[in-house]
Amino acid sequence: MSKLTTLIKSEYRIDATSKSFWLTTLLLPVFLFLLGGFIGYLGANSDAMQSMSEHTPHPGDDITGMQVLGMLSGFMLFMFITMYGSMIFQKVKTEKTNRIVEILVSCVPGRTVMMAKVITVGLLGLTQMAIWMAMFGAGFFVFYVLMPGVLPIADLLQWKILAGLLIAFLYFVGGYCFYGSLFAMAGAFTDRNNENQGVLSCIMVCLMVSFYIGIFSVDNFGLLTQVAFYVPFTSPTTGPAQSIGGAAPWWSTLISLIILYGSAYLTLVLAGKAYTSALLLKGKKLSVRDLVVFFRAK
Amino acid sequence: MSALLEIKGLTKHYGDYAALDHVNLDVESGAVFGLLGPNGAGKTTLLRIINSILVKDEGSVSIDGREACLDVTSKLIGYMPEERGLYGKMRVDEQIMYFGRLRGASKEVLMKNMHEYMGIFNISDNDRHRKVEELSKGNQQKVQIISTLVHDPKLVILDEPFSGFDPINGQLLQDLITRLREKGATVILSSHNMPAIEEMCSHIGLINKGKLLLSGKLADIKETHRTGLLSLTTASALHEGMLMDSGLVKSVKKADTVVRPGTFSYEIMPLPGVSNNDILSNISIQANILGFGEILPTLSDLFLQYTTQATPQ
Repeated sequence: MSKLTTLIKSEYRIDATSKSFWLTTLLLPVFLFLLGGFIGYLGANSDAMQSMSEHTPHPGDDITGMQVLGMLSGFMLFMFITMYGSMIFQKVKTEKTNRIVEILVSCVPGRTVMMAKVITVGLLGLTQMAIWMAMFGAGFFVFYVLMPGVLPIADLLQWKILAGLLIAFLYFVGGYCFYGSLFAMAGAFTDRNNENQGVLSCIMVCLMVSFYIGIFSVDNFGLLTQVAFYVPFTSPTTGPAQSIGGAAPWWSTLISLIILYGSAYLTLVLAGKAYTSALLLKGKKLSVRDLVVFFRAK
Repeated sequence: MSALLEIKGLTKHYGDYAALDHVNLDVESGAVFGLLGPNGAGKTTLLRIINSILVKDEGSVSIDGREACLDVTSKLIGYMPEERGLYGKMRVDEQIMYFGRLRGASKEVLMKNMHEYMGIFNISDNDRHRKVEELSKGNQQKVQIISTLVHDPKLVILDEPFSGFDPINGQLLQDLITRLREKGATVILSSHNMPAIEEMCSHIGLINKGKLLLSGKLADIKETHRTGLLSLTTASALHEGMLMDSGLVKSVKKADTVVRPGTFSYEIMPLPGVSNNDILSNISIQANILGFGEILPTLSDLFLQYTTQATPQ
């Protein structure tokens, strides 16, 4: 078994069998369902809330279903990274503050450890989502059995939608790997005293900007959108909106994906360097000089 | 005996600061090597470079004839850093197997060694299946040591291994190091515990400000640093003036500690060329001699001597 597989298998097993994982997985949908029901009840009995929803902007009539799919894909990625990116950060930070890092990097290259963290958390996230989809699917199935013909299942299985889902998936994975590596790097620079946690705030701001540009790019095709399509910080949300919506040709989608995956790999390598080099940081404020030393270190 | 670890011209800078400055060091196969030096001397940097955690700026490091790189060092070395680290939520046996697998050892070898070391360190069957965070600090350290040794490394590097250990577990560790030596492993100990280093180590190396000041067999080093100072224990007090007037000794003074209550202990520096027999003959006239011998420099004496003068070897 390779070292990467050993790392992933062990970490996944520990996290997936923990009480907190199962509590979150099983209780969160119930909580959200109850919250949705409560908000619905308030809305049905409140003129103020109904008035608010009348004034809330809705997608225009000229926005297609495919563009909505692209926008939803970006939104899903944003939510996924927000939830699981902080998990990556915490795992790396815990190893660093526990000083396990020195033993680990004497066995395994730093970038392999980072890759294992990103993949393990991704797998945990997908496991949770699979469980939620199973729970949702069970409800969906019951609904479909009780009210057949209401849901246009056959209409959903068109090649265009399937292609769109594939593109969304590719951007989803690439975006998660890119941002996941950034979160891992932030964890590598943070000590038990939470020094240098400003790095984490910078990543969250990038993510927020990416999210809003993604929504903006659904029906805006100017210079900002075109540049954001290729920049790896923003392409995970802009890419699906543009590619699935049909605004970007296939070759530019390919270039955007290559840049995104290449950046994700490069970020992973840098995160590995930071993980190993930041052994030298002990509750110290990070300076620009430190950054240069770390990233130039072999 | 051939060298398992060969270091030539090793240099490492952090910016303008030289953490290691052209260090040359050989560690013989089967030796127990004590690495000494004050805080900030460069010991940890040296150990991290040997373990391929940090990359050198100049020089070479080879282990068992092979250039040290992570693929080689991860298999051949068992490393326990000064700052301990374990996964609190992992079970004891899983943790040991986990680190052993990352070092490339097979499951069968790991299972066999794990059971053997757990027996040596008296880790009960109950504790084996508990999470590490549920163990006492002493037991956690035992788990750390077992994780370091479980894959049968050729070179064992222990940085401050006695830190946090009570005397019983400290003795267990000393016995273990002796056992490793008998099995043919080479051990590098980095510690400020001079008595333990003096007792266990066959070779030492002393680093200060990035430079290797002293290295070699401990017995040879003590021999070359002899001062000729003699220790004397008598049943009654000496007439020191009489001894000084004899023309045999340069100085006589009472020792800081007595060998046992009711006796008198002295430190005598003979004049050059004077034999011990002449000195003993002179003393025996005055008092009943209970003990006599040469005082060899201790490791602490050598440490202080070299770290205060900082003369490169």
